[in-house]
Amino acid sequence: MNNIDSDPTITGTDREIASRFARMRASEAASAPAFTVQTIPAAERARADHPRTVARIVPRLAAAIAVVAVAVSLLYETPQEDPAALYASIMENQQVQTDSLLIVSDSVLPALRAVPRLFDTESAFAANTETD
Amino acid sequence: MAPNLIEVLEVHHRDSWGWALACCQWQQSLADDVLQESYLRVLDGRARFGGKSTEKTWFFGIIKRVALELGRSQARQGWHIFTTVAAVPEPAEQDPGLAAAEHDESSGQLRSALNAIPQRQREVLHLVFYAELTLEQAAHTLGMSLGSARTHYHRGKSRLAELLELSHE
Repeated sequence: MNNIDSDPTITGTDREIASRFARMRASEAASAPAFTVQTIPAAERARADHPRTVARIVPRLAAAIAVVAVAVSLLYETPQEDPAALYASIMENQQVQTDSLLIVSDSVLPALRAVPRLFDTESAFAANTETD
Repeated sequence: MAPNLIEVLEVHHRDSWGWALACCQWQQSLADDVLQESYLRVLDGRARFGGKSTEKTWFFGIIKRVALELGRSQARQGWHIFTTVAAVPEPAEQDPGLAAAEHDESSGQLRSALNAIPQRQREVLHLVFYAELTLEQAAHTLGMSLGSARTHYHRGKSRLAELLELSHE
């Protein structure tokens, strides 16, 4: 009993299509292979599935290797420096640089001698404090 | 696999064969492989019946999936199994049963007409008229909404009627 037989809206065309399908169904049924479902020994099935199993395993194995590689690279990645420590080290280095730049010898900058007040200020200040 | 499931599969064996043929565009050797692989998946537990649909709908879904997978793998190998030509491809090897079926002019015309309509329409029509599923079951088997299945059904039917030169009523 076809589902369309119980449909009241069915047309003659539908019935014609249904009968053609029924004829095709009957003719194809003759060519249907026998239904033989039986337990297949595991070893035999494994042997039969071998090429397909390999084909299925290879991409999975590649994916697993990629995941492990990423995990290892994450584990052994150089830890990020503490920003505070980084800042302190930069500033210290800068300070050293700045201090060294401030040290000017007479030989390097002889014209500095022409500005006596610059040097005298400090000595005059020291002299004043001593006096006080 | 539960023994009663085997019995159910046996009851629907011929319809399953017809569905496998339709999924493989009536290439018998490929349909045979598809059906055997589908049974194997049920036997070794790769496909399990969850009870969300009827056993027939569920198994038809497996056949459809296996046909797609085998079709893809063979296409990758350059065999180009699934062609879009309207004519029915000549099977490489025929058994006497199918050869007799080929002689059935009506079936041959129907196959040619089915091959000339879009795949989704063909599948819905086959499931409804051949496998006698309801539209809802056909939609479930093909993984589409009921509305889509209904649209494919009506369009496919009118296209098929045109191709078979049936009078519209």
